[in-house]
Amino acid sequence: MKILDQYIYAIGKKLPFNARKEIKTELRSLLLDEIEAKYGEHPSQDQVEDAIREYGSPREVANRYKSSNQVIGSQFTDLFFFIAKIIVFALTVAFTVIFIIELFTNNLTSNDILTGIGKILFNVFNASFAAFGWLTVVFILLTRFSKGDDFDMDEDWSPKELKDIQIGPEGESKIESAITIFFILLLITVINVAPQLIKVSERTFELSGMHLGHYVQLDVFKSYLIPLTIIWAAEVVYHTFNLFTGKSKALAIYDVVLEIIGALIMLSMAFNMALYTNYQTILGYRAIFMLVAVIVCFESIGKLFKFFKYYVVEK
Amino acid sequence: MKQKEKIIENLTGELKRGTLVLSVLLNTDKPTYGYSLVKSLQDQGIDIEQNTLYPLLRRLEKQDLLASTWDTTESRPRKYYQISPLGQEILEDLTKQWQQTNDIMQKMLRTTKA
Repeated sequence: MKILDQYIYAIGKKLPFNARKEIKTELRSLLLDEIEAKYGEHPSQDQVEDAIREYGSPREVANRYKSSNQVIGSQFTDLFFFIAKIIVFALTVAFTVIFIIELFTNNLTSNDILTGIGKILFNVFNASFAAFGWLTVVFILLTRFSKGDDFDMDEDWSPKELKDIQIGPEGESKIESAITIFFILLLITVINVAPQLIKVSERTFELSGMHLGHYVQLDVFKSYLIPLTIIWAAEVVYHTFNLFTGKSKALAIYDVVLEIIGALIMLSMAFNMALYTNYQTILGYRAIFMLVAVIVCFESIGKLFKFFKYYVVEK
Repeated sequence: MKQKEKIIENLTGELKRGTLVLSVLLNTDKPTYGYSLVKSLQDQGIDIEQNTLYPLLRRLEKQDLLASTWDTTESRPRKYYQISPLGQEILEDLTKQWQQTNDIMQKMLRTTKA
């Protein structure tokens, strides 16, 4: 029965190498027993095909003989994603540091700075894919050569680890905090090294055909760099604590105070007319500062309300 | 209705899968080959397909619960399986577990019916 031999051969190609010969011999014997029991010693081609069809495709049959069909074992899934996140974070930090060093050591033009920021994102994206490829290969090998359920990330977990958890309103997610830290550090660096970018953006806006209602007075703008840098650095501290220790009452108070100070700075920038020249209409950076001020004010009120609700009233 | 039937089919399958190992160990006290074991189990009311049983036999052999020998004297080579000494020990424990579980379920069913 040629078709049976072809069937066994096709199954064999998908079987683990070390057990292939024995499984094929056994399968042949078992299938012949079945075919003979159903159709006698001289079955027709169609009858053999029916028996094979009922047994399953070569891939299905081979998979039943494999101990696990998973590329990466389920016991490694959490570790895989944990390491993947670390990789992205580490690459982001690495490329950002490289950019910051370039910023301080080379005379970069405004265009170079903007291109550099774009390059960070591109390089992180590119390098992450290569890193994920290697990570996947390592975990495939780990799954292949490990003994199944040996690995347990929570093997040493104990209820004692719960004692530092504070129950309260949900804080920012860890990913959100990590991304915020990265962008704030970038913003602090760029705005302090190249505050003239604000004028570049105004020129770019006008080149698009729209007429600005005012222009930012760069000297006055520079006087805001110190308070802005301080408040943003304080935000980095907040998000760092959120990343490693999670939300707490002290952190919630710190967050509310930051929001209020941030709102006051933005309101000052929105209403300080010395910051603007050739003032005709609000169209320009003043509109942006006002919008941000409104958003930050609402956020401050929201956070103050949440604080009183969770830490004062419900307590 | 179709969805209900599918759910019943899946859950019944899970229920049956839980008793398969015990059924196999109980029916391999004498050397038996795969096809013959399928027929024997089916005759006793255990609804099992060949393509499920054969990999199971191999897995139990890997776990040392079954021992195997090849018989090459007949028209084609056949692999015979028989319960091993370790398999006997496991069978005794599994049987106790099964009886306990059965008693518990019977109790629950009587309570529910009442």
